[in-house]
Amino acid sequence: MSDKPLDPVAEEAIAWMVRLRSGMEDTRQQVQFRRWLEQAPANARAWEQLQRGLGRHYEVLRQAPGPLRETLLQPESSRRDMLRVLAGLGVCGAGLWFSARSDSGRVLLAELRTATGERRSLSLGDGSRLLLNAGSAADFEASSVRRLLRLYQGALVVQVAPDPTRPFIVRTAQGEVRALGTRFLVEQLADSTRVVVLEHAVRASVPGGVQRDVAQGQAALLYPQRIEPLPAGQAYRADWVEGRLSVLDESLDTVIDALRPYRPGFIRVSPQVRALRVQGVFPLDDSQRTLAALQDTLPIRVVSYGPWLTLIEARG
Amino acid sequence: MSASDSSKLGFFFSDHHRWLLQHVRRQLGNRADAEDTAAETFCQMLGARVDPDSIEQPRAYLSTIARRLIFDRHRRRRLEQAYLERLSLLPEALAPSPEDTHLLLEALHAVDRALAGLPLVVKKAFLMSQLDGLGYAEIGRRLDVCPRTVARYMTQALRQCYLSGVQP
Repeated sequence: MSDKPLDPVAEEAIAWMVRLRSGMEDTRQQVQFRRWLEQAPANARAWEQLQRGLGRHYEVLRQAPGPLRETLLQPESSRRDMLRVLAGLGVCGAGLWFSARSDSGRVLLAELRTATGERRSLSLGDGSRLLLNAGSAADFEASSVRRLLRLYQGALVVQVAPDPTRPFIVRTAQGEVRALGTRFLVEQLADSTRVVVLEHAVRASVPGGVQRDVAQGQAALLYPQRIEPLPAGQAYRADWVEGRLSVLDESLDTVIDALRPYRPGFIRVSPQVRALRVQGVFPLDDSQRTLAALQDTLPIRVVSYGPWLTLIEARG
Repeated sequence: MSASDSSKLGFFFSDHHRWLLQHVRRQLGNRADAEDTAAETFCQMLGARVDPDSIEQPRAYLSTIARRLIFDRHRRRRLEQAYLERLSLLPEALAPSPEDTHLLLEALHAVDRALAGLPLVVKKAFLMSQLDGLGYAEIGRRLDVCPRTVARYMTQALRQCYLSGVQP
C-alpha cells in the first residue's frame, strides 16, 4: 500500500514533509513551502490531514522509555501465525496478558469451570473447600509436597484444610499466594490479582522476587513486578459467595466488570459513563434488575439488543 | 436513533448473530473472543449508523468488518506481549504507572496499526525522524544507507500516516 502513490495533492504534501524533515536548513525552501500551503485550500487540507496522521499518539511515545518504544519494531507476522496466535496456541507459556478474557485454550481445558451466571462450591481432594465465582476457570493438582490451585480466570474463595507438610498455593498470571490453613479470596483482574484474606494469613509473592505477608482483614494487589497493599475492609469483595455484589465506591466500569460473569453476551460501556461512581448492593443472579437499578440512579441508558448485546451509554 | 431504527437493528442482529458467531469462531477457535468480536462487529455497525435495510449482502458485510477486527485484535495482542516482555527487562523506577501504561499502549497500538505492513528498516527510519527529530544524514549513518534512501523510506511511511489521518 505504501508504494502506491496517493492523489497528487497528498503526494505534494508528503514531498514537502520529506523535504522539511531532511535536517538541512534552507530558508528558500521555507518560503516556497509557505507559498505552496497558501496556494490552494486543497493543499492546506492535505497538509492538515498529514499532520493529523502524525498527531498526538507520537507525543505520548516521545515520553516513553526507549525499550518500550521498540515494541513497534517487531517483525510483521504472516496470516498463518496470526491464526495460530488467535487460537491461543503457542502463547500459553507467556501467561501474561492485558486482557481479562485472556487465554482461551487453558480456560477451555481447565478442570474446574463455571459458566455464565453459575457459582459452584466444590470440595477438593485434600478436604479444602472451594467456591468458584461465575465465569471462572481453575485447575487443582495435589502432590506429596504441595497443593497447587491455578486460577486462569474469574475469582475464588478457598477454605484451606490444614496440612503442615504440603503448602497450599494459588497461582495466577501475576504471582502466587501461599497458605497454611486459612480462608481467602483470589481474583484474577485484567492486569493484576486481588487477594483478600478472610481468616489467618497468606504469603503473596510475584516473579520479581517481591514477597509480602497479608494478614486477616488485609488485602493486596499483585502485579508482575510488585505487590500493592489495599486499604483494610475488603471482605465485601467476597459477597458474591452469597450472590450479592456490594459496591462501596467504584467506577461504573468496574461494577459492570463484576456483572459480566453473570450476564450472557457482551456488555459495552461507552467511554463517557465509565468513570461514573456507583454505591450500593446489587443482586448478582438477576443482572436485569441490577442494570435497571443502575439506570434509575445514574444518568445512563441501558439498551439491550437481544440477549447478546447490551449497550450502556449517557442518557439524553 | 429512533425506536423503529433500533428495533430494525435488533431484528438484524437476531437474524445474523448466530451465523456471525459461528463464522468468527471458526477463525478464532475460542468462544469468549468470538463473542467479543461478534458483538464488536455489531457495535461498529451501530457506530456507523448503518441502515440494515441498505445492506444487500449481510453476511459478506459482517464478515468483512469481523475480519478487520480479528486482525486488529491479533496485532494488539502481539504488541501487548512484546510490551510486557520489554517492560520486564526495565528497571522498576522507569516503569510507567498504570495510567501511563494505558495511554502508552493506546498510542503504541494506534501507531503500530498506522505503520502496519511497512518494512522494518522503513519503520526505524521514520521513528528516528518522528520521535527523535534526527536529520536524514544521521539516520542514514545509523542505518547504513544514504540520505536519499532515507528520504524514500520517509515517503513510504508518510503515505500510510496520511491515510491514518483521515478525519474520524
